[in-house]
Amino acid sequence: MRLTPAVPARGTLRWLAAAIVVLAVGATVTARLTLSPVATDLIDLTAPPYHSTEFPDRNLSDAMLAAGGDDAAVERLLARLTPFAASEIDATAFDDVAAALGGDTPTAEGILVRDETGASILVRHGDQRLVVSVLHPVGAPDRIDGLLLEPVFELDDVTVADVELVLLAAAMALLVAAGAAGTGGGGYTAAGLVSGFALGEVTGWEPVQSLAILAVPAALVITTFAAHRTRPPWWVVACTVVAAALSVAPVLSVELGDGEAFGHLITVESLVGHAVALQRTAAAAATAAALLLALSLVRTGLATSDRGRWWRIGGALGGCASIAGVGVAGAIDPGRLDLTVSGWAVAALTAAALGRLGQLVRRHRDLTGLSSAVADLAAGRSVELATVIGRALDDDTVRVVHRRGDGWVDATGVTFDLPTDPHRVTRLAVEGEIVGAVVHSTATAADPDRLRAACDAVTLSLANERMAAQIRWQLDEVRASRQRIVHAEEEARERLERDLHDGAQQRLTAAMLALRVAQRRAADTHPELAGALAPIGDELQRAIEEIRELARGVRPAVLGRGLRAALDELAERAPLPVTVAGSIATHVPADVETAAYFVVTEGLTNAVRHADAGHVEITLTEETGTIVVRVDDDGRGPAFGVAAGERPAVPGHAGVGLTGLFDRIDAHGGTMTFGPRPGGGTTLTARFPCAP
Amino acid sequence: MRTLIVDDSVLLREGLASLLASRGFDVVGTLPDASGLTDAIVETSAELVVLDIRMPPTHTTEGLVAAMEIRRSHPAVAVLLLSQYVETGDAVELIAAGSERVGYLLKDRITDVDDFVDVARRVAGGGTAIDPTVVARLIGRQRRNDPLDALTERERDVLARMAEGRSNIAIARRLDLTERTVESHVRNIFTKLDLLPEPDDHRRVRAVLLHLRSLAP
Repeated sequence: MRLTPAVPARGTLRWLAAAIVVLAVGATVTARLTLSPVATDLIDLTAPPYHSTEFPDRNLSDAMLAAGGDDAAVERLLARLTPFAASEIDATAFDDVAAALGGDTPTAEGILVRDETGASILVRHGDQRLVVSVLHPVGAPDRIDGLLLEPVFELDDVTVADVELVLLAAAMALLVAAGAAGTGGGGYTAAGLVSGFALGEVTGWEPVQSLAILAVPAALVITTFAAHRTRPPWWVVACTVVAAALSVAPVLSVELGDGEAFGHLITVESLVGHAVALQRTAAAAATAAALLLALSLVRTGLATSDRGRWWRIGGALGGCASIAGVGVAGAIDPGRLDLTVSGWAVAALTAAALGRLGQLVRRHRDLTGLSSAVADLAAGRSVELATVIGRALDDDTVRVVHRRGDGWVDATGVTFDLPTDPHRVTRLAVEGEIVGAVVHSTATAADPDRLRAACDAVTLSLANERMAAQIRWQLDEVRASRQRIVHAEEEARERLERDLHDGAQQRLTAAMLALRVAQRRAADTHPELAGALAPIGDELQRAIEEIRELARGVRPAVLGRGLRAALDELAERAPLPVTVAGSIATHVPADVETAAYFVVTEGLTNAVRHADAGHVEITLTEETGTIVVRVDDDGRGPAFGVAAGERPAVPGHAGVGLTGLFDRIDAHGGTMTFGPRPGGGTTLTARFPCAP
Repeated sequence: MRTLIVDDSVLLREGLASLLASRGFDVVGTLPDASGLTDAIVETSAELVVLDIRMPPTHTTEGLVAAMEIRRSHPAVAVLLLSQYVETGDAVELIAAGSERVGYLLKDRITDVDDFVDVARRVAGGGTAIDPTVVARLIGRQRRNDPLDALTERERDVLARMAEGRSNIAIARRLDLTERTVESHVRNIFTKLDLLPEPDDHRRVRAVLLHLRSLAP
């Protein structure tokens, strides 16, 4: 996900980046070309006129006075005065130079620092102050001044060093705080680097200073990468690399040179010239890169809506202003192109980036929370979807609403009016159908990627919910449908039985009665007619009996008197001794009674036909919310034509009745098991759920 | 004999009415269901009620319920219940509540006209009539260690007739025996079944039926 939201601005930024690179290279080349001639001006200490510039330094002066003119102390102070390590302190030369300066009275308290090239610095006590004189060729004083005497500027009563100290301490505290706020490895690294840099600057401890000087480019790189969650665009990388390389170039050239490279003043001059040019270029490039970065951060910050965005925007603007200030100062006076100052500028920028990084980490955490929330939803755990999404989007106004008919309802089912502003509503579609919407702030809409990610999660959850509801509904439908089928079958059986009993059988009985009456009347007058009517009557009688048995098989009318009565009748008619025990107090639906009745007939049939049983026990019991019907026989054991406990896979001769029975039981949510009875025989148990 | 006929089948109702009327019964009314039956009994001073068990509205036990009600409120009125199928529980329940002036017949028995008229007269005259199928069911039920196994074939025949509500004379005539022989069989049966002899025929029916019903399978 790319964080820079405004796509149209990309081209502009790219051109800007290209311009910066060109500027950097061009500045370097120009500096080399324009400054190279300086190298031709040979400096000869023995050939006056020399130009002498004096730098009164109250602090240094005071320090020297305090040191009591101790050479070692002065040397340390000098070491701090200039990156040119004092390679030699030549007391003899001091006099020569003092003499060469003419007019001034040389004193034994002064010190001459002169390296082998002859560039000389004379430090001596003046009237209650230290006077530093530099002997250098005419024409290049500014450059030398800027480079050699960098820390020595007066700023009213407070020296720049004090300002630096305060600013660095502040930057350090800010970075440490940002690092401690849990902004990840990048934050800690940047904080550590800049802190080390600050430490080196404050203590003046060279090794640390040398290494920590790398903190500036490093912080720049980290800033860039931290602000971009994935790989930044190429132009940002280019900006960063150029700025980082250029910012470190002058320092390296000085550090690596360390006197030996400066065999001649020409070289020094040349290098100094280049270094200044390079430093200028570096400052310009770093400034431009930082400005671009600041721009990106400000835009990203403005596009968000969380409370932390003003810190990030402030930090970015602060960093931007700092670097711009340093850049302007450096352009006016190269001596002010201070790496330390640009260091804290970068530090401010880093703080801004760390804020952004923190935001990313927090959002990542929220998105993780979102994933777990989705997982919770999938597992059926109750979570407030809108709350989780709101946190992930840093937006308190988030609402998740569902489509209901033509309108919208919230999670509690209350009608919800969608805002008219299209930037505040994202509709969610599942399989092309709008199922819900996320309502959010306009600021959230400015980050479409993040919004989409959150909405996808919501959609997933809604789709899941919808699918689950659909499956539940279908399952209910199937169950209800099966119950309806079984119920319809029961009704049909009952209707058939009633039609047979109350219709056909009644009519046959009436016809039979009429026939018998007629037969009796005919007996005296027409005996042959009466004789002819007799077999008709017998046929009718058989028809009546057959219909009675048929109707009984369809559905025993006695079921209308309750399950126990029906089981008693079954037991009476059974061709083997059958005991019926127990009863049920709960009212059981007629369909369930019928199913239980057929379970018993199945058990009885098995006991009689296959098990060769001598006795059958039917037990009717009631457990909490369950009706239990059990048929035990003392026969040979299970012989249903299927393995014990299994539902017949292929309906065979014995399995047909069972399969139908299983369907009947299933339809009422019941179960049936059968298997060997302990002590021999078969036990068949059916359970039906029933409301107590 | 002032008779009321209650049956939801108009064909049977009218058939029964004409049959009974032709045999000297005074059919004072016919009803399609049991509602208003008590009023009709009072109104017509009926002595005999012939009624179907299965009638509207539920087609289950309306007739049985009405019969029990009549026996409670008008014990002098004889009740003859007709059923499409045999329900031994119903029959025993009816007899247990009082065996005088009561009958329980399978509906198609009416087609055996003479026998039916005979039963109707017997019931109206204070006797008892139980359908042979009910008796056969009770006697024939499979039991382990059946006490009825101790009875001889002839004794079983006598037991069945006795349970149907027939008198010793009727049994003797039916089985072509002398009355004394029947009396002897009855004594044997009571001894073998460990029952106390009952003086009246209808009380004898009740004792026998309840005993048969109570025998463990």
